Amino acid sequence: MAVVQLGSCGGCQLSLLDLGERFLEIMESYSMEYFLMIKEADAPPEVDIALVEGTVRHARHLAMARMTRERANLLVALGTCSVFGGVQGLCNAHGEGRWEESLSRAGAGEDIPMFTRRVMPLDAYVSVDFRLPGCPVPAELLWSFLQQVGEGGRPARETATVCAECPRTGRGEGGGPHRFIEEDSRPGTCFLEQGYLCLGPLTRDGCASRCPGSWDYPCRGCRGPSDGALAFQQLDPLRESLRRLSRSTGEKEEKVVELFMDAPQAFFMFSLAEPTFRGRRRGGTSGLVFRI
Amino acid sequence: MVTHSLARVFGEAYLKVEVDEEGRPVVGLASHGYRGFELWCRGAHGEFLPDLLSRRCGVDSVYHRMGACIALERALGVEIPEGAKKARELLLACQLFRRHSLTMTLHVLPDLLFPASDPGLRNLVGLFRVDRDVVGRMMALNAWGESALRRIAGRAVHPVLPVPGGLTAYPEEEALIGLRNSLPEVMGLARETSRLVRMLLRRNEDLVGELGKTPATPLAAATPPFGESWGGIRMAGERGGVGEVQEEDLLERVEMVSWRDSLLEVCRLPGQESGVLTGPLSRVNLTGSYGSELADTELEELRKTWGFPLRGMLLSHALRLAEMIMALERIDQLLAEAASWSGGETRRVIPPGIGAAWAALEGAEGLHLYRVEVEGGHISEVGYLSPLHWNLPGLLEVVQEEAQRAVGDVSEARQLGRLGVAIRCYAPCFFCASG
Repeated sequence: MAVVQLGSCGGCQLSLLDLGERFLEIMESYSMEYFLMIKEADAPPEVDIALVEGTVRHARHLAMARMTRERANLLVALGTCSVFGGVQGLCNAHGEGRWEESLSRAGAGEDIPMFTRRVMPLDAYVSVDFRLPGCPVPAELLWSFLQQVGEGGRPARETATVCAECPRTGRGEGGGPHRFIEEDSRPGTCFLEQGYLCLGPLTRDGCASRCPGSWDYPCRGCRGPSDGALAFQQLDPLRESLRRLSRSTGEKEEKVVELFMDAPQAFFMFSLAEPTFRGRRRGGTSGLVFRI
Repeated sequence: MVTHSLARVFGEAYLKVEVDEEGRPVVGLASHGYRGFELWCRGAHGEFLPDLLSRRCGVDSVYHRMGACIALERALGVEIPEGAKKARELLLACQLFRRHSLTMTLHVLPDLLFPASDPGLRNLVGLFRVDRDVVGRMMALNAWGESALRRIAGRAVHPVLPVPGGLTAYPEEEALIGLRNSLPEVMGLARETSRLVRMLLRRNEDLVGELGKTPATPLAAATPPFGESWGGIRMAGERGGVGEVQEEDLLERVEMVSWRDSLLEVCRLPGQESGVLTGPLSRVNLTGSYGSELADTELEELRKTWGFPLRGMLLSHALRLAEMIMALERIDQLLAEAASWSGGETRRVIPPGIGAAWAALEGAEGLHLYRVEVEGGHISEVGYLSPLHWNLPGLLEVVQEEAQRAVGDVSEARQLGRLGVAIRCYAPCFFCASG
């Protein structure tokens, strides 16, 4: 096994380590050949399976992604950054000028590697055999996946949405739309029905709906868009969220959208880099992404 | 001499050591893991800032989320409920434990156990091939830290418990009871590991004596390690203390310098030659005590052997264990009082407004500083200084010294080994430093 890190926060690598005793079982089943967070190595060797965390942000990442692809029998995109671009995709809302200015402020000299003009999911650069989204990837899903692959299986999972697992029900009392930190929400009642933005209906399940269900916090979409949101234009995160908020608040969609001057972060915090959303005429990211 | 992707650190970095014509090593450390957080957090509503900044670093996500919340609250003048303060303190104590345990398990213990062995063995994977049980015991501390964060905040990486204005919800009573019941066992394990680390340091006395003994100016927040508001920053050291730095003059005091061939930046203080140090060694050399019984007992043992103030960067690893024990003691206190703070008001609303503020948090590796400017509830500017921004000059000084010793050493493995040990003394996080 190889665990490869591109532009990322390391959270998905921690998910692997946080398996605890089960991580030791993985080390017994697989020979851990490359995992820079825990061992020295020059480059990924030939491996059965490579878990690739993060996005390709510059030339070194691209070279590493290609080398890993050549040497791995199975390549797994690990985490939402790798599968959909993740929060780093928010860069795409800005033009090259601002990005270069930002790089310059961070001290970029001539010797830094060339940065990509746009953040894309890993499968825009190399072919990917499996996708395990999540920010970070849920440990239980990762464990189940590795077990099945270890036994020679090719795991597939029918996905639902976060709402499918969410215990919040009921109707709000109208009013809104609201910003979460500017108002008190009612526990146990659906956030959208109360006029708060929640991406639960557009986000894939697998997280046990912990944020809205157990922590009284609206879904931000960190597991990435659901299959439905990717496949059907009418389930686009922007369009469908506005439709639902309009229904629950009694306000017109044109009025609701005025509250969200920060549409890239609000509706596509983890998926602005997902190419599927770019071509949509209503909703989608076409109006939010800077055109190269 | 050596060009290598750094292993057993958090984040993406490259070490380059070149030897000039006169045989002197020239050390360079570069990180290109820039992702542009300061750029694309702008324009977001304040409610999203903790979710966004948390993604700067998975390892320290609790600090980043909390820092974003505190900066926003200070910018808009919101005081959070008392119970929420306690719950946040509990979360910070668990994060301190977890962060140190990760560093110890993944990066440090293999170095201390087998300092002179082949790098192929001197890591978790190599050790596992030799003795699974040893690795299992090493990982037990991290497993407890992970489970503690999961019990009180739902997950260990990118938890959503702190929100601007307070908390999303109080941890369930059952989770708090479970956590408290697990404390005696983990305390025993932490103290046993602490004894082991002290013994290993004595065994590596030469290395402790050689590595990073240059006196530096320590820097730490004036608030206790689990404090979560601005209380000024204290500084002192042989190279000239500069007293307490207050919020209003912080920007004037601190100068940011771009590091060559890299996207790392360095914090400098005018009047200081170099070597501003943050983290466990810095904290204890400023305070002289942890203020909790068992942690101070650990410190006393170290004082007996190594004197005070503590010199030698390797000793920071022993202090990690002392701080883990201090965290456990504080967790125990907070859990004992949980009935008095848990279950009340969770958060206060934050009205849209205009403001700007700093927030300071003492993380495991030192000061995290966050600056936020808000306008109409939306973020107009965000800035962040990581522990590594302060530590980088000192770190490179130590690496330079080690490289000087390594010139002429015939064993490349040994050269690499000692340079790696020197870097890991600072437990640098390039995820945090290269946003």
